[in-house]
Amino acid sequence: MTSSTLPPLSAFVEKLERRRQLLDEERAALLALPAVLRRVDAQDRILREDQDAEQSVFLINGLVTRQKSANGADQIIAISFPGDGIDLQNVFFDETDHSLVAHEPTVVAYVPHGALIELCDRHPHLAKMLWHDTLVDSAIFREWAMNIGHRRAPQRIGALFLECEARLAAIGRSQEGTFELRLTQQELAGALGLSLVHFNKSLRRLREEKLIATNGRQVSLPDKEALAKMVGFDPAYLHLERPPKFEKPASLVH
Amino acid sequence: MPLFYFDVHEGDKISLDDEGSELKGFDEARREAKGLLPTLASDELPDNGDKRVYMVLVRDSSGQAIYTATLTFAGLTLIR
Repeated sequence: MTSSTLPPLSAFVEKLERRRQLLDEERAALLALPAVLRRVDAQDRILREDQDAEQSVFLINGLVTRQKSANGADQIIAISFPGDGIDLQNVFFDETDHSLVAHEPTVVAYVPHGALIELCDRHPHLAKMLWHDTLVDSAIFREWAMNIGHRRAPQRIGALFLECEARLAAIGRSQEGTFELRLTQQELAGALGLSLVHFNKSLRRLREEKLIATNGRQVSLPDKEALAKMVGFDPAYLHLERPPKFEKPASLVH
Repeated sequence: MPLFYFDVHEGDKISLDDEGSELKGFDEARREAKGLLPTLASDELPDNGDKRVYMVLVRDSSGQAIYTATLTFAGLTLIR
């Protein structure tokens, strides 16, 4: 899986095609988009909030979080994994409304918004696939809002790890419930709206119940089913392999 | 950053912290303790009885106790 030998947007194309096959010319058009590669280190800012929104970011390798700042503090509001078109969210906005930060040595590709918009004009079905991808992002945001608003600490943590495991398994980076997540406990706690100590105590309870095991940055879910049941987790909202439904009635039927 | 340990005593149950959390210093440790008690209580109270006392003991990396706080919940049903 060497990113240097494949076109930059290959992993993103693969992600789309897990849901629905693209036409040959659509695949070719996506792979031919002008893309500037950039390598960044942990804690580097890939995109800044409140700047002119001019390019979309595609994650090729590494780990990136989406963050928003308020009162001088940054809040992680989403996590991105290789293959994600992280930043189709600001394509039609004047200014960016969030920042993107790397958490390990990371490779991203920048694609000018204008090129994406032209692509959508030329390929309406592909435009719908991109639109659908942003709808899936929104579904994940909704789930996160519910997670933080409703679940107690241990279930909140379980939900986050189950989501990461499912998304990483889809790209072959989780083996039998074991995956790597290079976020500190402080960052994970913040993403879940928990204080560090509360996070640690709740994680410890999950460890004692043998639902989660950690070893440095490695996370294991030895009994995914039991954890999913405790959390009330259903990965359907991730639309990992669910095809979009583009054919729908044009008039209301009662 | 220094490690701080947060032991939680709830009634007769003691949950000793043998892992610790890296925090900036005493002030942050105290803030964490203050935030921890109400959230622990709100996590567990709904499923438990009406009288609960939650106490947290904060120890520094040498094991010495540096701060303690207690939260008492006393509920009383007023109708039959």
